[in-house]
Amino acid sequence: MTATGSTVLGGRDVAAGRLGRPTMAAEGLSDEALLAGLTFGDPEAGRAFVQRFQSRVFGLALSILRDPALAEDIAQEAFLRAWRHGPSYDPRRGTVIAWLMRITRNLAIDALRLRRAEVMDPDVLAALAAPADVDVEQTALTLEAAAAVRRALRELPEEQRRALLLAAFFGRTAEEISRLEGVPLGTAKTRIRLGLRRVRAMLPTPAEEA
Amino acid sequence: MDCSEANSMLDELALDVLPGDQRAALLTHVEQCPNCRHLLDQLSETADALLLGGPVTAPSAGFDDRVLANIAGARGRGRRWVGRGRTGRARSQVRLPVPAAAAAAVAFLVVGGLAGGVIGRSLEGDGGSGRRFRTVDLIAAAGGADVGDVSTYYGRSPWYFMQLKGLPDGTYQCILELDDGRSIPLGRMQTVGGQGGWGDRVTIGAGHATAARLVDSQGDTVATARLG
Repeated sequence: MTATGSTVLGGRDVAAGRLGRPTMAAEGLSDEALLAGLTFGDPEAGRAFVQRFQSRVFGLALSILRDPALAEDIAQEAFLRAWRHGPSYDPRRGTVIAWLMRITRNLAIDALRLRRAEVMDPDVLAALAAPADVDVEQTALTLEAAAAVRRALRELPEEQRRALLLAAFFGRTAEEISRLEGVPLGTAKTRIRLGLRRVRAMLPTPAEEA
Repeated sequence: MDCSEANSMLDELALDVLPGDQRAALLTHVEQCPNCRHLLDQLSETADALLLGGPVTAPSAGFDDRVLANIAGARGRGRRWVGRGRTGRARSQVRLPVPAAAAAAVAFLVVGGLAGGVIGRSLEGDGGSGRRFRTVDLIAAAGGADVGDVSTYYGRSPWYFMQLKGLPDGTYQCILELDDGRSIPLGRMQTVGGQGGWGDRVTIGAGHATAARLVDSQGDTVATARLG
């Protein structure tokens, strides 16, 4: 057997077992190991996986959709997709949480487009860059990383921050941002590019994080 | 397309908002250009970080129960292997010549056979250790560095998951050592950029696996995790 690709999970479906509470040991497993357990149909690892990420997944869906009921549906679907796609997860493409957040973001954007909703309220965009109102437990590392992103966003000129958030969270293309903001297409593209690269320059490098 | 033109579009690709026609042309360039590929990876990391900086809000009580019930229901209907859709990443299209899902299918077929008969015994319980989940460091044979870990679950449906970090790129074989002296080859994994992972179910009970070894293409053991 050759597993060309990076993470290979060859799980088979098993009968659904009792959905018990995760053990302390399950909660201590790595994100990748919990994803493996979810994929293999292990209920304890699956529960630990959901509990570890549910607030981030739901929070992202809610920030995009502004509708708690729809956001929960999207969050549910995101975890279902994680279970379905778990065998093809590849850590070279990013961390488990980044992969899961990308799934959530894309599902929420699709739902937004189906509703033809325009969630472009300046207050919504401002909230994405504001200091976090944390209402759940997070690891210190996660909190620090999120705080660094928000600090970097606040440092951007407003027009760059808006363009970047519209693209990153709401999936708006440069052409759509150009129309929304009433600026030429080239200006919208420049704002996205400068915004993303300035954030990149302000975030700690992996070596600095280590 | 030259690097200058590619450079002006990489950010939109990283943010997954580049229109399809431009995306295809840019990906063709990126596949052939290590510098642009490297920049794309960096920008994609930043795009990921932006999402992690979003709000954190607890869902309503019982959310985890509902997720697991949905998965159990879907499992009952059979796992549907669906297309990547919007979950696909620009980076993966550049760097993964073989779809990982196809590789997973290969692993499934072979290890499925292994679970069905090669090991030949299925023991339940936790072997008296009282711990059903364990994560053990994978230690390099040369130098003793921590080069990954092996997570194990011994329950009704035991599974193993091996994760590598920092080993030289290459193909490695996972071998499980049992307490009766047998060595069970579990599968091969390929590391790229020092990373790789492999996992599957096996029907062997707790306490019977003493070690998981990683063997290189020359047959030399490069790392071992002591499970016993």
